[in-house]
Amino acid sequence: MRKEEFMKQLETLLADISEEERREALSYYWSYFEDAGEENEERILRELESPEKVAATIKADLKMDQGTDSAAYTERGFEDMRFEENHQEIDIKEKPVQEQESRWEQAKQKFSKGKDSEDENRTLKMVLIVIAVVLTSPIWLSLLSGAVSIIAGLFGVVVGFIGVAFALYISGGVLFGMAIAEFAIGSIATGFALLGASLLLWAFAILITAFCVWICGKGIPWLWRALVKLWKEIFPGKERAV
Amino acid sequence: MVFNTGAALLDAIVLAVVSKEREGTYGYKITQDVRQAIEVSESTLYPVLRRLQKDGCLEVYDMECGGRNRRYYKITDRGSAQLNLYQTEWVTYSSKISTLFSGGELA
Repeated sequence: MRKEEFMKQLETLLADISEEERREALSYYWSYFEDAGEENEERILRELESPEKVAATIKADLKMDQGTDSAAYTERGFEDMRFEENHQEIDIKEKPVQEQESRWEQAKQKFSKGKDSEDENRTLKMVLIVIAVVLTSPIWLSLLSGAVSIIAGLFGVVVGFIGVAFALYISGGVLFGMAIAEFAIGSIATGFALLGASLLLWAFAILITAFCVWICGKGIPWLWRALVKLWKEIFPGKERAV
Repeated sequence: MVFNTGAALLDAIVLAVVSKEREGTYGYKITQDVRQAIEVSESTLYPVLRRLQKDGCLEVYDMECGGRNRRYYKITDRGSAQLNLYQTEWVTYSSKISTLFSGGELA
């Protein structure tokens, strides 16, 4: 078996874990083969034994995350006690070789049995979470509405500033027009006074525009990140859920 | 090797290997280095590295090397603290057993 084939099988076998875990594992093993070089490819494939074994190690550890610590090193390498049971059963009964080949089938069945009870656990967990969410709703609802109103308030401020900036641009323009008219038919002094006033208004308008751009470009994303961070601190470990 | 290496000792060995490389090191090299101390199969270390990463003991970064990305592992402050703890524990543990084996009296 070549490494391409190995990786393809591994990808298929990891289809039932989360996208992130799968990507991580696959990129690790790709790099592993590449760092080892072509000359070591065959040795590594031999030592990895099979895509099934590698996939089982990865999945076993994902489950270990949830508490049980049943894997350890033995003189035969890394072993997981849950698989070990299967080996022992077969060893004691001294089954013929063909039947020993069904080890993997048994291991797989064991895996899928394990998954059923895990599904039940998950359902129970979901129910508990829903209850907790409902019970704590006075707290988080007010927090949520507080956050929403801060954002809405800020949005209002920005809209207000945009309005002011517009008004300043327009009145600056009007004063500029009046200045031109004054230069043409009225007194030059009044013309300069109006021109000055219009430039001043435009300067204010530009200042406010810059402020709005800053708020939208930096301030709001910053506030958003702060809120997301706060959320993660209140509910940590959410992304670890598989 | 007749003695089993438990998960904690394996974590400690991996942390020690990674902490030796100030700039970080990568999966294949970590496996080769760990193998100088204990027997491990090629498939052993990925879950360990992944778990240490999730626990915040290791951080990863990708760096281009020879036209492709290579993932580097580097020890974090938390990982160093954890390694320290393991090392202290190991000294106590191993010295007691050594004393016992050499016929000495435990205090």
